[in-house]
Amino acid sequence: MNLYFPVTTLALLFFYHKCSCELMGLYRWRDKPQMEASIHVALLISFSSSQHHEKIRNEGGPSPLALEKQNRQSIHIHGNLRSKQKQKQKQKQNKAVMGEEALKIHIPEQWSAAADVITASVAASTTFICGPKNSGKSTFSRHLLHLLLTRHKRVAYLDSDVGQPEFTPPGCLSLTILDKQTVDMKLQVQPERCFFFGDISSKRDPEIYLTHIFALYDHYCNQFHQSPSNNVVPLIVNTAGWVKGTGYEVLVDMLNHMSPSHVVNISISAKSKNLPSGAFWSQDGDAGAITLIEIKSALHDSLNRSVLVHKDSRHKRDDSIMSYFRQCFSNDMKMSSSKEIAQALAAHPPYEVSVSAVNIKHLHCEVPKAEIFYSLNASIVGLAVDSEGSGGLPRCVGLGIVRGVDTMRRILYIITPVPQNVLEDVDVLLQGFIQIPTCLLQVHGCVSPYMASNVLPGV
Amino acid sequence: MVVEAFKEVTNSEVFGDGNYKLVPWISWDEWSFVRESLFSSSVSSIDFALQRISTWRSRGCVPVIIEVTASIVETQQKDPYFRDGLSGSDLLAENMLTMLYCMTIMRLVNGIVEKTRNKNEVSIGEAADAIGIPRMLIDIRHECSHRDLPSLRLVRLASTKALDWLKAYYWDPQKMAFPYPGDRTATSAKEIMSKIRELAVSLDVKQATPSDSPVTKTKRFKKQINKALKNVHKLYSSHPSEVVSILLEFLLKAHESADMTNSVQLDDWKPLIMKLSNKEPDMLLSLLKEVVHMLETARADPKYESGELKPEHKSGFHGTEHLSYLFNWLVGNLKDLKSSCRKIITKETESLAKEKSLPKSTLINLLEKCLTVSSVSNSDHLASAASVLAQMAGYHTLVQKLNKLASLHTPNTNTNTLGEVADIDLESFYNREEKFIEQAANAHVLLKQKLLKRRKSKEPSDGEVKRRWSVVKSWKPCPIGMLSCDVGSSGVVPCLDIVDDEQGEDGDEKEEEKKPCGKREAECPLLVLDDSEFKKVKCCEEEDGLLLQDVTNRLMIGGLWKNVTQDEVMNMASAVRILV
Repeated sequence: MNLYFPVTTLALLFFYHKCSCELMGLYRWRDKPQMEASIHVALLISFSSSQHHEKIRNEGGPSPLALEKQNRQSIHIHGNLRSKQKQKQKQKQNKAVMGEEALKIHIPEQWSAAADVITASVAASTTFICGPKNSGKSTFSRHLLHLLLTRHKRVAYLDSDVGQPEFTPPGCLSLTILDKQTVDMKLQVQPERCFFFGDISSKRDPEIYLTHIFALYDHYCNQFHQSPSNNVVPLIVNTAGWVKGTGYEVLVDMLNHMSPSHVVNISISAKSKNLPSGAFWSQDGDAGAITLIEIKSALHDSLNRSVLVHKDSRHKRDDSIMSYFRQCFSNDMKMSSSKEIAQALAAHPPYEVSVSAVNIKHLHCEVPKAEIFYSLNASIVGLAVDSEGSGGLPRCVGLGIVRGVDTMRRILYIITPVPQNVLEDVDVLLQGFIQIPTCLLQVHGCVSPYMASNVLPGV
Repeated sequence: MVVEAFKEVTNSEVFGDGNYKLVPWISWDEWSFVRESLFSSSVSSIDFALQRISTWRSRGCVPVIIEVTASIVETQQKDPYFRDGLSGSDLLAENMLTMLYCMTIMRLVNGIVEKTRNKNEVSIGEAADAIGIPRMLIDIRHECSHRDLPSLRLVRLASTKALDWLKAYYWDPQKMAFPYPGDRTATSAKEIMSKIRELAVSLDVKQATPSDSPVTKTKRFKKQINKALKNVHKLYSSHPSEVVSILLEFLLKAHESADMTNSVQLDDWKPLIMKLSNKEPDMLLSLLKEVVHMLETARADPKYESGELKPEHKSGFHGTEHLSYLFNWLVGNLKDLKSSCRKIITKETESLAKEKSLPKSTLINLLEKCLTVSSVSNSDHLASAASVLAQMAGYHTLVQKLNKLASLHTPNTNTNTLGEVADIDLESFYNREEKFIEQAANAHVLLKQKLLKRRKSKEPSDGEVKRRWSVVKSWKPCPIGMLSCDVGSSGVVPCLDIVDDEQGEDGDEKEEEKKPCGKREAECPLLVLDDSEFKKVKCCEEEDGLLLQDVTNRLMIGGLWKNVTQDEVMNMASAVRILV
């Protein structure tokens, strides 16, 4: 109904759309939406009026969200997000009506066009989405995912953005198979295959990083690419925003290995930060069979970008880890803030596993053998299974917090939301540089010894 | 004393809560130990420090200043100029050595200066000047990144200067910055002593003052007591186990000297204990546990009567009688506390156990131990304490039996079996066990059969007896990185060494707790004796180098030591009830 918002409102709405998209990405894989980043709330307040319109408008349409309780905050967001996608489409139809100023928000039309090109291809498409930080790769990926799911039963999603992955906590590289139901209902998805890289960027070990990505891609090729034509599983490859230096080389290697059907290169207004235009990955500059789509970031300059762009990625990661471990508890338990989650986790009975039953490995550095527990205590580990099926790489089933080490009994105490039957196969603990959120360590009355209070300032 | 108190307050205000920072070391003791080792002249100490710092690195949050210090020391360790006895294969070519020095110096300047510098406004040189980095280091950084490699002699000199600066800029001030420099435990023990003594003195004064003294005077004493209480409470939150052991010391003294004139009676302490327990519901439990532990130790090794219990106090051994009296007294307090401030405890525990009273497992644990001890000492105090405990734990049948038992005054199978689980000295435990087996052979045979049956019936249903991953059955909230213990809210700092003779400062702390005769809490991780593995805990702090074998969680069944879980013990306990 309300298609003619004042332009500024629309622009802001779109801005919010992006923001919520990004945040949704973070929260997607958990099914407890109570925990909200403060920005959510803030935006909710500022947009509550327009949201109200949205909701009314949405009532007629079949909303998968109707299944969820309406009193949860993030549902509003989700609803808002989806309705804005609809709105975007309508907007496209009505663009003649929009005034001259509205050109600013015509960018998404470019996005839809790009997405349309990809969805139109009949064969199993492989779409490679790249671009600098905060250009909207994840948002576009999600948009594309939704569109693809209208045509295909299942869509594969290879997430190589190891710092802020969509369906897993940070530090993981994963291939996830999604179907309409899981996406619509925001069910928690278990990745089809997951590796624990143990860092938030590929910079420490680009070779291993690529090995993992290729293993995931090969797994997709073997299992899903060759499926019969009525059951095609297209692939979306989302990438990290590191597009300079080694990051660029990693991207090129990935592109050359995968030779996708489509490459989406999203550029932002700061030209120096973008990937080169054209078929930058090929030696002769010829894209060959690959369809290259170059689009602009949805976020327009006239907006105060810094609010979102420079949002603390550390904070995002911590939130993401917290909501991952929130899954240790049932949905019914009222827990909204990370403080409450941390409190509950301190009291949560952990799993115990004998030191001899697992192989402890640090992914990025050598730990002196005698000091392994000094390194391991109170750290986040990837819980992995050493199996032949994954090409010698231990596949990861989830993350755990080594909450205590009992050297006398030779037992590790580990907190993880991974269910026991899955856990039973876990025989490798992979340590990396995924830092434990400090809010977990400073629960009131339960301050971890690793939180020191007398550290000299500025050191 | 007043001055001291003031100092304490300011200390905790400056360094108190807030401003926490994630660090890779588990305690400042570990940090201090690394600091001392790093700057020591012993090669093995230095190696230890370097190794520990590389472990810290693997945790990902080590301050760059520590990393840089380690790099410089490590490079010096490769330089024959600083270290004798490097063999041919260890020697590096001169320019390699120079490059190592250059790199560490570069990382020092960049890593530390960058943190303090506001880019675009101040040059590296100016920023370095501001924090007093020797000019030589700045020049070397410039030289080796943009010009020729400096000479080895220069960078060598620079490395020494750099270390001096690092010490003055970070290591020494940091050492001064945490509240208990030096031996933390010793200092804090002293402090706790003084605080509690203050409390005792004020009590003394209060008692000495005739009740008809002016109101203002009484008020002043009240104020004084309150202040002292507050201090003790503050200390308890930071050093629970120390406070408990020292407080216990005072209580015992109060009781022992009760018959002498002009001293504080035990009951005078009651309001104080109650007040403290209101704030820290765990404290009473800790006290109880400590007393039981003392009783056990006292009985397990009579030789200790002549020896000293705690090196810090020189107060010697306390008679079992006194201890049991104190135990009973404390249990009485616990009961009163329970009725008076049930709410607090409920709030504390409902999250984990959903129980409406004190943590049951803890009570049962205490009860078991109490029964064990009483089985030998046959003290009326303990028996009555046990029945109160049983009542609190909700074992009404047991209460009846205990009452009967008390009237009969004979050893009873019930007591025996429950007693088996307690951790006491191996030898005397063994002897007593033999006696019990004689006494209650039938009961044991039955028990054995029951246990076997239970195990058999469990095996097929469970499929796999040994699961790799299992959820811990009972867990008390404790900080991440610590081990949960059944008493006390704080948890235990774990000992992380794999090899026993390798020690970090925190390792020592742990071993101190393990002392069989010490007053520290004994809730450190229980040692399980596998068939395959026989681990000994070395008490290296003990002057006599006593070797202690912990027997917790083991039960002698059919003449063999078997591991038993808490669950199995509970099963047995219930089975016993049926038998009696």
